[in-house]
Amino acid sequence: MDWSLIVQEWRLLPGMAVEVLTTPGILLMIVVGSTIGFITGLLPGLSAVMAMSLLLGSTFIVPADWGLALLIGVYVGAMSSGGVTAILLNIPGTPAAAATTLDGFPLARQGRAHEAIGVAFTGSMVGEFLGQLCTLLLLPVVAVLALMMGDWEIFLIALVGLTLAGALAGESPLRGWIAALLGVAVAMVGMDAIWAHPRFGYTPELVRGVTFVPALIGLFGLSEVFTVLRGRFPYVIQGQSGRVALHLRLVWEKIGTIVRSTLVGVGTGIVPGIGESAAPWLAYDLARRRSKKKEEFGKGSLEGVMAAETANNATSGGALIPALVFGIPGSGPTAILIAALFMHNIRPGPLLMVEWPGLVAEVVLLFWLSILSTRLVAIALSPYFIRILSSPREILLPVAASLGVLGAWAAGFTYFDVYAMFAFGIVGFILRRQGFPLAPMVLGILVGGVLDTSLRRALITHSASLGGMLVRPAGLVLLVVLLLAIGASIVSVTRRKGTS
Amino acid sequence: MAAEKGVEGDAQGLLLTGLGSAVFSVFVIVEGLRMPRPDPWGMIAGPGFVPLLAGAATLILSAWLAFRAAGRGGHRGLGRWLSESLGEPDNRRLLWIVLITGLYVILLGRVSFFVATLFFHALIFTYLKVDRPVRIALYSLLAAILVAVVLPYLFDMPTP
Repeated sequence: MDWSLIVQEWRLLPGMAVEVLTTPGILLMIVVGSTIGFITGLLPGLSAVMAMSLLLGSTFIVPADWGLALLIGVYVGAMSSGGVTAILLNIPGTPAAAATTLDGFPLARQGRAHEAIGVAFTGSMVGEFLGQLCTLLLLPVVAVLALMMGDWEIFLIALVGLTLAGALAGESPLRGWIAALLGVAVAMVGMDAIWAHPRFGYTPELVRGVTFVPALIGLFGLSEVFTVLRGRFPYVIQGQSGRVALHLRLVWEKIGTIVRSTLVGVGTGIVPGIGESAAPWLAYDLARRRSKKKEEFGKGSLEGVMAAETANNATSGGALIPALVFGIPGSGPTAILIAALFMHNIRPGPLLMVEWPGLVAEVVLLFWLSILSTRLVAIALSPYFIRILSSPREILLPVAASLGVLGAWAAGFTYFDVYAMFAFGIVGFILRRQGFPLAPMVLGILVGGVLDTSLRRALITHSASLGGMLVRPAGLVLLVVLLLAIGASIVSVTRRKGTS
Repeated sequence: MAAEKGVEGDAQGLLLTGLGSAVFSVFVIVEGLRMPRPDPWGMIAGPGFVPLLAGAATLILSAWLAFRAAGRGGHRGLGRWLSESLGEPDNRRLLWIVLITGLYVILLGRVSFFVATLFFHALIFTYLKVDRPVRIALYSLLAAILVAVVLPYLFDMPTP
C-alpha cells in the first residue's frame, strides 16, 4: 500500500468541495435523489435497492459524478426514513433499522414520536457524517486491517451479532436466541453456496431459497397488521404537530455513545454481508451497558434510538471501504454504486486512487451533501409524513399490508415470495404473542448464509490445525466478546429473576 | 396451580410454541444428516453441517423453554385453553383478518391486481367499520390506485 495515497485524497478534498458546490447539476441530483430515497424508505416493502436499481439506467445519460450524486442521495435518504417507519409503525423500513424499533416505538406510544424522530434524524446525520469522515481518514489503513479478517472472524462477527440481537431484543434471551436460530434455519433453504446442493429443495421455488425481503415484510409488517387489528380498539399515535427538530444538544450530551456507535458502525460495516445488520445491535448493547439509565432501554430510551441510528448510518461509511478498495459490495446499495462506477468505466479496486485521484474524496463529499439535503427534505416533509403515518391504524395498516404484498412481489416477481410473506406474517404473529422478538429472526435470515459459508470455509482451510484457527488474534478477541456476551446475558437473566 | 398469564405469553402458549419449534428443529436435524458429506472433510464441510448445528441448538433451547412452561403449569388444561382461545372475540376478529388477507394473496394472478387490491381494501375496511360506506369506497379506490397503479408505474414494475 502506497501511504502517500492517503494524503492525496485529503489534499484533493478542498478542491473537490469547490468543484461539487459550484456544479448545480450535482446539487440538483442530490436533492432529487434524497427526496426519492426518503419517500421510498417511508413506504413499507419498498427499499433503497429497488429505487437505486431503477435509477441506475438513467445515470448513463448524465456525467458519472451526477449519476453517483443521484444514487448516493437515494441511499442516504432511504437509510434515514427507515427509522421513521420503525418508530411510527413498528415496521423498520430497512433491516438495519430493526434495532430502532426497540425504543423508538415505545416512545411513539408514549406520545413522544416527534422527539424520537428528531433524535433518530440527529443520530443518523451525525453517524453518517462521522462514518464518512472515518472512511476518508482510514480507508487504506482499514482496508489493510480488513484483509486480516478471515472466514473464521467473519463467522464470529455474525455469531456475536446474532447472540446480542437475541439477548437484547426481548425480555428473554432464551426466546431471542430461539428466534435467531430459526432465522438461520430458514436461511439454509436453497442452493448451498459451496457444493451447490439444493437444501430443503422440495420445489423449484425452495431451491431458489427464501429471500429476506418477504421475510422482513411478513415478520414485521404483516404480523404488526394482525397484532394491532386483532384488538377492537387499536392504539393511537398522539403527540404534537409541526416540524421535527434536530437534537444537537443531545449530540454533545451523548458524545461517548455517538463516538462508540460510529466506531462500531464503521468497524463492522467493512465486513461484507453482515456489517449493516449487526452494527446497530452491537452499538445498542454498548450504549445500554455504558448508560446511567439502563432501565429505560427497551421501554423508550432516546439514547437507545440515538445509538442504533448512529451505528446504522455509520455502516455506509464502513461498507464503502471494501466496495472502493476491493470492489466487494458490503450491501445491496453499495453493489449498485459499484455497478454505476463500472458503467462509467471506473473500476473499483486497489488501483482506484491511482487511476482516479480525488474520486474517494468526491464520493465522501457527495455523502455529506446528501446527509444535509436529506435532513432538509425530512424536516420540510415531517409534518405531513407524521400526520399520514399517525392516521388511524384501521386505515393505515391494511394499506401497509397491500404495500407489503407489492414489495414481496417486487423482491423476485414470483407468487412464492408473496405466499412466503403471508406465511411469515402468521409465524411472526404467533411468535410475538408468545413474547418472541422478531428482529433476531430477521437478522438470522440475513446473516445465516454468510455464517454458514464462512464457518465451513474456515473449517476446510484450517482442517489440518483447528487450534491454529482458534488462536488467530482477531478471532481470539471476537471469541472473548462472544463468550462475554453469552455470559452477560445469562447473568442478567439470573439477576432479574433474583430481583423479582 | 393456575397457569401464569402475561404479555410475554401464557404457559400453555409457550409450551405449544416450544414443542412446535422443537419438532421443526428435529426435522432440520434429520434433513441436515441426510445431506451429502464431501470427501475428505466429511460432515463439517458438507451442506448439512450448519443446519445440523442450528437444529441441535434450537432443539436444546426449545426443549428448555417447553420444560419451563410445563413447570409453570402449561401442560394442564390445554384443551380448555385452546377452546377458550378460539372463542375469544379478539381471536375471531383476527381469524377474519387473516382470512381476508389470505383471500387477497390467493386472488393474485387470478384476477387483475387492481381489482384484487380494491376488493381487499373494500372488504377489510367494511369488516373493520372504518367509516361510512361511501367513504370506505373512496378509501379503497385511493389505496388501490396507489398500490396497483401509481407505484408500479413509478417503479416500472410488472404487477402480479
